[in-house]
Amino acid sequence: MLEDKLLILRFKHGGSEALRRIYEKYRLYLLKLAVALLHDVSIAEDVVHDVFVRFAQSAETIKIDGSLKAYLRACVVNSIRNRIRNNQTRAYIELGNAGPIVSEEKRPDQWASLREDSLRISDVLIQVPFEQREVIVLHLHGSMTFRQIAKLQAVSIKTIQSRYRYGLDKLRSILNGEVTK
Amino acid sequence: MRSADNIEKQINKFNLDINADKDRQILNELLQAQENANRSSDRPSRFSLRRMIMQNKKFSLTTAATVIIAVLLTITFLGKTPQAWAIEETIKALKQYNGAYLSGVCPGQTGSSVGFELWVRTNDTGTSTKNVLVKLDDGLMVWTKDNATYAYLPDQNTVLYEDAVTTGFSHFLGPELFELLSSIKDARTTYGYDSATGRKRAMLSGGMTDVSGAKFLQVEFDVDSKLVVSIKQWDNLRPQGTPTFHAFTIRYFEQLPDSTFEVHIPDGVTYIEKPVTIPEANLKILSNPRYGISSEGLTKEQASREILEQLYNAILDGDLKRIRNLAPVTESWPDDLLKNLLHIEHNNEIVQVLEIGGISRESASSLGPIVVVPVTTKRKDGTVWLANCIIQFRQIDGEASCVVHGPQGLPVQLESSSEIRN
Repeated sequence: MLEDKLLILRFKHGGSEALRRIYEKYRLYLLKLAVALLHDVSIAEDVVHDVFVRFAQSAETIKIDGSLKAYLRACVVNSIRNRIRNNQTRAYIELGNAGPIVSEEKRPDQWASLREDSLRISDVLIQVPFEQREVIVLHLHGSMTFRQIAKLQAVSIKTIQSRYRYGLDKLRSILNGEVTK
Repeated sequence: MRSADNIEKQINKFNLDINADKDRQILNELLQAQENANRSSDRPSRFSLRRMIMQNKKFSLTTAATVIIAVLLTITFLGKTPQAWAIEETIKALKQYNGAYLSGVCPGQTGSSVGFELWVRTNDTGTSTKNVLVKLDDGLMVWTKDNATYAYLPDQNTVLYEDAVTTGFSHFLGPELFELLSSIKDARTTYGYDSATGRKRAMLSGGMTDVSGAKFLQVEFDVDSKLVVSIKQWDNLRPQGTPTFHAFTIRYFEQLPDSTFEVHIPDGVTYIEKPVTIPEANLKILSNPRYGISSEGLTKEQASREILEQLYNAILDGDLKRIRNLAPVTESWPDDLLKNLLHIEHNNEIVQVLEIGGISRESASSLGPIVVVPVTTKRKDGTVWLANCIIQFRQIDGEASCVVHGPQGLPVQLESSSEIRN
């Protein structure tokens, strides 16, 4: 936390080393979050790339009251929500229609690629409605508390807890179905 | 059936790999985007902040404490790696220590003496200070991290920071320091025995002026181990008045864990960048028209590059007279001290200037503008070092000129030449 505050200060004073450190510290975390939410590595890469470019250009104007991690996470999540709202990407896919994740065929200029055992997790996650998936991903991958997620989504903490529970139930039924097969 | 816990565990396994080439490419894009954004924006806010700091009386009072701690440690000039002590076995014995703990007294936030504790750790090769943490009994803390120095002032809930290592030891507390102090003009060494242990002690004392101003040092060494056992420092050339730093307990460690240097400060602190300054004691010699080069018709950027090129050529040529002319703070230093600190005729001397960068910071003294320019050099052993050089501009009898004051803080060893800053 302290290190982040110092990084922000240096970044605000034009420090390229600070930007490098921020990038190296958070890119994997943000990419994982975006891929888990989107089930599309290519779009996830675009989202995280855009967030970092805007961040790199914002030294003069940026104002971060809380933690840097939370700020960048919020940028990624909001960008994904905007894309989904504008129908630029799929909110979720019905059971049985979940196709292979885009990154399965590796592009030469691909930034991120899912590990083999993660491909199946991604295929399963995309079958959960976005609102529920968002809570699961932010809680499990984003290390956010239900209270923080509730604040981010502007709903009550009970709603968030319910979405989490329903989401896990859905995942369980999908995975147990796979086991039965 | 899978339980909720199992599902969570499975989801947590989700992970991905990053393509290193693409990763570098994106990072370069970001750095370029940042540079473009920096170029297109003017920076009045930085200068207003600096003015605000200079005019803030509280600032100057409270920074005194941090400067006092720093002065002992910034004796270096442009770069230093340890020279060999005469006794090879002693060097081998010392290699096992890379950390030390010091306690003693120094002036606190109000100027009256308070106790302090200081932890220091060198880099892996023992050639420079990697971490320093100082805690005063009145709550003030000073530490270094990532080549910058921070001071937490609890009374103001403020952290002052500067982009240089201004607290640390240019020489670890052993033979290298003994050798350096021995070459100070009029240095005196007296020998005796510690009354408690009966061990032979050497007391080295001497005064000098370096980039942090005038100081007198009195350092006691254990003769057998060559380790420092106590340090006293005054901020004048004679031991006058109360010492500004007195460490009377020093313990050495083979290893100090990272956790020793962790700093915890309350949330909500205000961060303020400390401006680059030149001690008043050094301004007199910097104002002497005999020294420096003319900067007539040159921009500050051009003049800085010119004087630094001349200075480093003089260092590479071992031209002490020219060095003293361009960087007059060294004027009173004996040849041995100057050679020692600049690595001239040294087994790890500077062999190449890799880069003289652009102006990274600006400030002003009563003589005129001050700029800081990073210079990256390569040593004989292949290591790459960065020194931020302070240059003083002045107008004397209507003519513009400049002199090199010295480095801002300690030089920093870069991991590789790819780390060179722009």
